[in-house]
Amino acid sequence: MLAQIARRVSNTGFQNANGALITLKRAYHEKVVEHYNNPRNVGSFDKNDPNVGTGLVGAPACGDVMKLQIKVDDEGNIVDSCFKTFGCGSAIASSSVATEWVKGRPMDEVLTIKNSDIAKHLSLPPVKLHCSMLAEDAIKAAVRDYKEKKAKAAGSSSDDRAEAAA
Amino acid sequence: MRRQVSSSGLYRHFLTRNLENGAEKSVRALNSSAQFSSTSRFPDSPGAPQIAHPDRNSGTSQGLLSFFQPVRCLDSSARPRHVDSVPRSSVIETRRRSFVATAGNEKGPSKKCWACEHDILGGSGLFCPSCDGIQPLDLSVDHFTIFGIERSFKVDSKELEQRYKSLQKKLHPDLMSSKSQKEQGYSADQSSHVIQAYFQLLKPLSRARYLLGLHGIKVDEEGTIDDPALLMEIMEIRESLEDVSDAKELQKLQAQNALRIQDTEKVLEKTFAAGDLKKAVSWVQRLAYYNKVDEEIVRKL
Repeated sequence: MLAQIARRVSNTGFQNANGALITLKRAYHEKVVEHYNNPRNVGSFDKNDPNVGTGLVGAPACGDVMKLQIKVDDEGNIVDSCFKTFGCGSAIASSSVATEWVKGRPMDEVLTIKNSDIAKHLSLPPVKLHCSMLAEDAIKAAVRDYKEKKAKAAGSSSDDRAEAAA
Repeated sequence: MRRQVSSSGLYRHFLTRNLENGAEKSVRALNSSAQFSSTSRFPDSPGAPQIAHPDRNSGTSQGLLSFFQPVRCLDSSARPRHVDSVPRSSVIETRRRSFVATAGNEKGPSKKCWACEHDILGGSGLFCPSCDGIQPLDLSVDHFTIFGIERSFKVDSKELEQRYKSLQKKLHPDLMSSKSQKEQGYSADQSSHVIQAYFQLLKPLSRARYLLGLHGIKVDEEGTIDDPALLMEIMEIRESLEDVSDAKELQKLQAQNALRIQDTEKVLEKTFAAGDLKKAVSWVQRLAYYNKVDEEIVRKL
């Protein structure tokens, strides 16, 4: 019986070690690793700046937090974007991609960015799809925050416009 | 038998798909072990059905089970049923008997001991109150009932530990060597289930999630939240943690965070006691974030 236990332990150990090793090797697509090692646009804008929209979202199950900010010009184009994410590699890569994609595009157009586009771009496995979901939600939250800010600042006339846009 | 073959085929498919390079060795090992388990569980002589002894099968089925663990989160349907049902009901007779017991339970208050037919309703359901025989695993019994404690967020961890140990003293497979193979199988199931239940109730976060689950609320595993106050606070905590590497400073931050965890658990205790489950969900999320902060500090220490 002892021998059986010993065999069992060594057996599981071997398979686990082997499995883990291979999982580690294959866990992330090279694009994810690339964005993880060289994240684009990390940083913060002043969140009180009237031209800045801040999106703050989180995934409580994994304890991830993601902040994505956009800087918008008077024509409604996103001129700059940055992010700060505490989370797994996929979450960091997703937000990094998101900031790249929103830059230079009109604010309403970026709302069409879907998490599936980000996931496809990064070849995320199904278990990591929620990381790209986080990035999509962050973009939407940032745009919403910017619109709310503008609406508050400009009074009732632009209030209607923001509502119509939302 | 056919199911056995198709699921080991599934294994091989999974392996070749995922391990592509350099894992031929484990595929070979898997092939031989699959063959071993199939012969041991389906003996050649049909007249002599053999119960899968947990010890005899553990070398293969446990190994396979643990090997499969990472896959479970990817696709639970890919995990063959027979792997975890090996010790539970390998013999048709056992299966029929336990089916009678649980089927009765689903309908109403009539759950009988498989050995002496005595009513075993009430209590933990692990043993028969009359003949003290070990009963098959009944997943409809919740964790709190297993340990005979009140179903609430407030749990005395010392009492829980005591009850856990006294249960294991009665049902651990090592103590069953003189019992029938059927009872040994039940003991293996019950024992591992009790371990899992114990750890789920021991940690406040998993206990809270389990409690919400009992009330039919599944804390959204993959959902995103948009609670600015909480997220801002977590963001600031994580940012302040980012540049710290000094052990003393980290310990100070950890102590601060421990207070947050403690406070959150106190609030959860009250919230659960008041039955405000919606509020409990948001506090569970908060607790999850604070726990993550603690993990991060421990990682840096």
